[in-house]
Amino acid sequence: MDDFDAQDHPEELSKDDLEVLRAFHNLEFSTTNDSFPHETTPGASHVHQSDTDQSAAFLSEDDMLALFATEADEEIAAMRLAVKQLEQDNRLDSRGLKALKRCAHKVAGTAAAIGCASMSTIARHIETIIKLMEGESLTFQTGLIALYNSMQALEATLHSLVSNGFESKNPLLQLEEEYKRLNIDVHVAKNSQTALSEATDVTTSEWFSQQTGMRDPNSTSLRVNARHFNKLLESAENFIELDIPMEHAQKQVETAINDLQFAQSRLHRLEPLLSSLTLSMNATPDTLVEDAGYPPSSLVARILQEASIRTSHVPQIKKVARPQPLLSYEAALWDEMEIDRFSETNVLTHSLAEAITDVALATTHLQQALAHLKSIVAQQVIQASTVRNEVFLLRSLPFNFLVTRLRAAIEMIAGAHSERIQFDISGESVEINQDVLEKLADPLLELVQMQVAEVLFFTHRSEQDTDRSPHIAFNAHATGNEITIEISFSQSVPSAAVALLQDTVHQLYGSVSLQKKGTGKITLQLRLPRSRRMIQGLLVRAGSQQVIVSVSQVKRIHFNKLGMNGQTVQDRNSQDTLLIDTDEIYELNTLLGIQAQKHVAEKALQTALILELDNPGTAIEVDEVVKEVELVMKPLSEYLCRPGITNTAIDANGNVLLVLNLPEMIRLKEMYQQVAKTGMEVDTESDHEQPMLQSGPQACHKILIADDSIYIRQSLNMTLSHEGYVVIDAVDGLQALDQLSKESPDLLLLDVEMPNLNGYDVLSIIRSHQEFSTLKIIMLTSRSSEKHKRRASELGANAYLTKPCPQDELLKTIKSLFGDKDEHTYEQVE
Amino acid sequence: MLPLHGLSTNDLEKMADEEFWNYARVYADTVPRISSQERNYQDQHLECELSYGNCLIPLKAIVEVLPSPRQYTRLPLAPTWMRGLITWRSEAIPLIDLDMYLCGVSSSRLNGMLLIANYSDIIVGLLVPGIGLTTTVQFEQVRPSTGPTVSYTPIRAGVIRGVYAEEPVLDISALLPDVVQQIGMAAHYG
Repeated sequence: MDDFDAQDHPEELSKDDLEVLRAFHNLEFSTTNDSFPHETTPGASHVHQSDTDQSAAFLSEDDMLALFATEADEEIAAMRLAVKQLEQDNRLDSRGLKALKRCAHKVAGTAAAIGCASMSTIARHIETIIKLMEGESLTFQTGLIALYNSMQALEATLHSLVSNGFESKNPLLQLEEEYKRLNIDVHVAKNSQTALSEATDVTTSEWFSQQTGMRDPNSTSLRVNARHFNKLLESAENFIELDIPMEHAQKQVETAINDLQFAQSRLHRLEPLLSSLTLSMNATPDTLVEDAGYPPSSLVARILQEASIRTSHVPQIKKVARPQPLLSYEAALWDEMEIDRFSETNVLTHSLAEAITDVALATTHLQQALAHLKSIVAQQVIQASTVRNEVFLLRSLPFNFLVTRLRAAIEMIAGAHSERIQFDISGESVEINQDVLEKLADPLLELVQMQVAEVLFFTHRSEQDTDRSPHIAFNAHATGNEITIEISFSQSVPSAAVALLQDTVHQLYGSVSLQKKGTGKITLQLRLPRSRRMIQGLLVRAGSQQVIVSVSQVKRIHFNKLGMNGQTVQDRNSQDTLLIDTDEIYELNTLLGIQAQKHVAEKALQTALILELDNPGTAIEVDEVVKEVELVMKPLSEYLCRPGITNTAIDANGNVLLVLNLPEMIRLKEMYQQVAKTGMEVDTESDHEQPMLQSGPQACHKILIADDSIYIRQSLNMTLSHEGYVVIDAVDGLQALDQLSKESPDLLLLDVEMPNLNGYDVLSIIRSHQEFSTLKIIMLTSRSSEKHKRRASELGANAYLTKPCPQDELLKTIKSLFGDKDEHTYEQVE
Repeated sequence: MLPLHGLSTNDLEKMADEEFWNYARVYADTVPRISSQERNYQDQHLECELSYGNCLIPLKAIVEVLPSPRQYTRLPLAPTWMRGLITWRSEAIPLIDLDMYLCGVSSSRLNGMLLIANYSDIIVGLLVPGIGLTTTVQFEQVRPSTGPTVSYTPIRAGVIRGVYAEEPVLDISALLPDVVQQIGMAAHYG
């Protein structure tokens, strides 16, 4: 047994680890018939020289898997023994429990690193069960049964991995069923645990998924906020209860309409009678009547008369004697019988008056019924809106949920360096949609980690300052559909972390503003929509088109001539003064490609949206701000997405409204312009030969490998050592920074996913410090997507390689960065 | 005769052998007739008027025929033949000026017809100046397109399945993915 690895990693390598490493080395050197190196370079424990030829390449995926399987098998065997010992000891302070805990933790970590999610999950379940047993939330015997079941599931999963080359999910599913049978809820148990122990083991997204139960492909259930669920149920019931009054109101309207129709028909029936009466009065009715011999007040006579007019035939009816009507003045003077005498005109007039009254009455009833229906509809709309909002809030979480994680990360990093960072929070009960919270989790974590790293490694504090611990405070509050999060730091904030946070917040249709106070305190204010599906926006007109801009991204509206809400001249003048500071004015029409940009001097700015950006003077000129709206957003199909346009909303008329992300539109527009410009410059420069800086790669260059995988570190170490480079390594981001300050390497091979500060954080920190300006950085990661490459490029990486990376490609890249002019074939970051 | 599909097991049991086989023969004869109808539907195409001639679009790809929309929303960085976005069944879909896409000319008016076309979950609105009758295309008589005609530009030759009765038959399985690809590319290259 040599002391090669023990010297390198005395704190982390056990006997088992060394066995794995030995297997690794055997495999690595088997192609060259070389033996495991028994000697190390004296005085430089991290430097390895080897005679191995270049065929000592990277481990293939299969090799890695084989190594993992060997290691996992040994760990599981050790876990079996540990559980047996635990059973024999029959007490929680058994050594077996500690050994089990250590093995489970290791399997969880390595399985996750190699992409074996089921094994990692089972191992984490084992950790959770141990914690439950320790916390006496689970009886010893039940815990033992659960542990045995877990061991079986772990073995079965490993077996499937070895047999098939991929994990079977069935053992995990069966295990979780068994947990249920034993009344063990590992997810709830996890929620109740402090996040401290997990702070550096998983990425925030993974952690978030674990905590919220999201993204679990095996899960058919959904976790929701119980309080909101109850409120939703209540609101839904209220909504349903409105059906009865709605039906009643509809019936009332129908009845009123019927009454009105009946009254109208009565009125219509009177119309011909009135017309004929008018006719008869105009056409000397007395003659006709007298000729025909009908009594003028008889409707029968009237009908006969009309018929005779139609047929030009006057029926000969015997003339009957009838009393002469009294002269009106005589009637007025004396009425022997004291009764009313009705002429046909009187009757018709009376009928007409009645019919008109009926119509008026029916109209009034209809109006009342409609008003009632309208009020019910309004209630339904309100209730529907309540239901909709509560559905969106259903998956909300208190802000504290995220802050716990942040606090744990801060305490972990600071504690490791015997520092104390004061952490305050207010508004922790403010509820934020889980989607929003999840998106914010990573950038916020990176922000605080980078801030803490900045304080610990790069801030030179006086003795007086040392006494005062750095301070980070979070404050959240909600206004309507908008959430505001304020993050205050006692010291300056790394701009890269702010930029990252800003990108995320912009994607969420929010904004970030930076406020610096005289005391040196920095406050970041985040304004965000409460939900990712709803947008509270300004309906803005650009040409003939209307678009939506998130209220959270607009600092204020500038009106010059005509605008919203009847601004006074005084208001407009005062806002004109504010606009003097605006140094960037974009036309919305131009951003949307609706029309050509006018010359700046020619245009008269009328209405502008002043954006909440890091550059305070950015204004977007619009044709009109129509009104404020709240609409549901619908994502566009990917091929329809445009820079800053990824969602639409549909208005009441069925028109598509583009939801604009103005900061994104501006950022991407500037970026594309920059890329186009850079592209031209590169084309020009490529004609000139690069000067050769150094004679060869073996000029004692020192390379730092930052990777949490021991396999990768060892593999790279051997390859680079063989090439004559001096190699040092680091297991996480923080250690990488530590090594950087101590060892001053020439090149850094940087992994992205690492505990404590990830690769991007490390890259950001390095590039924000002048003393590391000459350090070459190659990102070496399994992340192969364009967005990761772009991010690395933006942060200042020199090259980007994806794992598994062929050895020659890696060496070419390194040589190229060290100035070997023949080597330019590496995947340079665009 | 009893309706064939209305026979119960009991009815069949009561039948004499000859009677049974007669029924079976008649029933078997109906199968090709259904297939023929099916095939007929598969072959049916809608004649669409374009500025420089007609084209045929498979009916099975058309989900709905509507009057042309009164309004649409313009999308930045879109190809010239994409008028904008419209709403169809609460979803935003692209409105494609088929005349412009195929022939490079636009009828420049919104008084034609809107065909909602669907292929493999790609849904687009095809705006055409007018539509004619449906035609059953005899595919054995479809001759390969030997070159661009007045109805389409050379660049669109790939979306033409062939020519039937002097009218190009559009291949929706090529056209819609091409539309999607071109719209997507326009976002990056203008």
